[in-house]
Amino acid sequence: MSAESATLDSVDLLDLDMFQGIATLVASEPEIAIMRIFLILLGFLLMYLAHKGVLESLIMTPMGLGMATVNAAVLFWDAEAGIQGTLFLNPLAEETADVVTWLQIDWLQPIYNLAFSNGLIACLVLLGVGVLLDIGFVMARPFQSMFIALCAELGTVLVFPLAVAWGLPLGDSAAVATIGGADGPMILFASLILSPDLFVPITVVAYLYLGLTYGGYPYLVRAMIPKRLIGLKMPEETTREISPGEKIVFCVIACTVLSLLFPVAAPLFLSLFLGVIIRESGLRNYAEILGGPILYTATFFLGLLLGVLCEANTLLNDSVLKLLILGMTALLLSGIGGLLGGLALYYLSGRKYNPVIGIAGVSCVPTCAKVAQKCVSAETPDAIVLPHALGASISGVITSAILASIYISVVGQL
Amino acid sequence: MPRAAYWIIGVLIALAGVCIARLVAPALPADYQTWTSALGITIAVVGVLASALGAGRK
Repeated sequence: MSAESATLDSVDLLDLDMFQGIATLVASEPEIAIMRIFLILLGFLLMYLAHKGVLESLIMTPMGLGMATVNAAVLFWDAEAGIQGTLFLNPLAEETADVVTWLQIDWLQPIYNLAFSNGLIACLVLLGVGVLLDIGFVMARPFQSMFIALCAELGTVLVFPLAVAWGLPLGDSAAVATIGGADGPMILFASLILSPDLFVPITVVAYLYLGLTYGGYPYLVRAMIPKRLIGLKMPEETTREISPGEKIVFCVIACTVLSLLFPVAAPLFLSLFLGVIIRESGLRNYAEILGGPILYTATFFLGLLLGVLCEANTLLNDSVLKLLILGMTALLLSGIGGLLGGLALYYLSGRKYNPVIGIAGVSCVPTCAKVAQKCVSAETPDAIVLPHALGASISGVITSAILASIYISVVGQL
Repeated sequence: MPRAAYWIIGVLIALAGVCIARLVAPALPADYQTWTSALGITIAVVGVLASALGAGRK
């Protein structure tokens, strides 16, 4: 056949072998091809928004590039049979022999199998977060903080029945409901157990929305709280400084009691409280390693693996649109619940408590606490609510873990 | 009340909650298990928080 008479239809796909990323695009089903192009563009968008500071760049930069690259780098494993794949990782490998084979082929398979699918990365992130937390903010006003945090779990509680009513299976419903807890590692840990088929879109949706809370929640605060209350100055407190020994004893008690109650979430409790104890024990060498290199390495690989897992085949699922809507609903309801809790405390405290602190109960440490202080400072620059907000925010981590473990215990057994 | 009392009472309340949730609830008829378990969890969390009450008190 001469070059002049060649038409597009007559081009053998194997002629494109040199550019297999394009050849696989042409050979794919149209919806897969469109999804791949969409995800490549979405990856670019995530990187751009991370670069501009709209989204959390520590997660979104590796996630965005991973998402774009994995969807561009699809190649033929067997061109005759039309089998496609990548050299990144194969999340579907389950049999031991398959896993061992893929460990030698896909460069991210070792990290996926040995650190991601068993929840190790989530625990490492929590360990690092624990090192950065001061539990004294919770201990200074435990019931206030926990009340706010419980109210801010409204989305976690209400989205579960909503998702079930919308037709999602129980496990997927519980997993997407945990987005209301606004705690990334917790959502990953819970959805790995509750929703093995949908944990990738659920976690990606969660991290996307969590990145948007800093910009979005101030609008919710202004919509729900009257302007005169946003800038409310709280009276000075007469609490004393809590000693490191007391914080350590509290962590030991809390970790043991919560682990007795919820053994399924014990890895999370141990990671979080061990981090806090290391900080309070003055083990500076451990604290520097856990709060620095390990936290950032775990965060980096968490972002990269989530991006690489966003392959068109994985995300081409009818449930993804539902997850997008339910995830947003969960965070919105949790924000509303937290602010309602703040308003309740405002009245219960004789109009002394600033209701904006309620938004901090959504957790997402320390973003929501910063949102509370930012909103208050915009109205009254010398009003300080950050210690209260941090207490509510840290309590939010604990309540998120409790609710996630209740879902794992109850729904996981059904 | 001395600070140590908060720790001791808090821990005892928390352990009582654990016993209710993990030992008593499973032994009850199915109709009562969920609520008894929820009650135990609530008591345990209240106990943990109560143990911290003395720490912040001046």
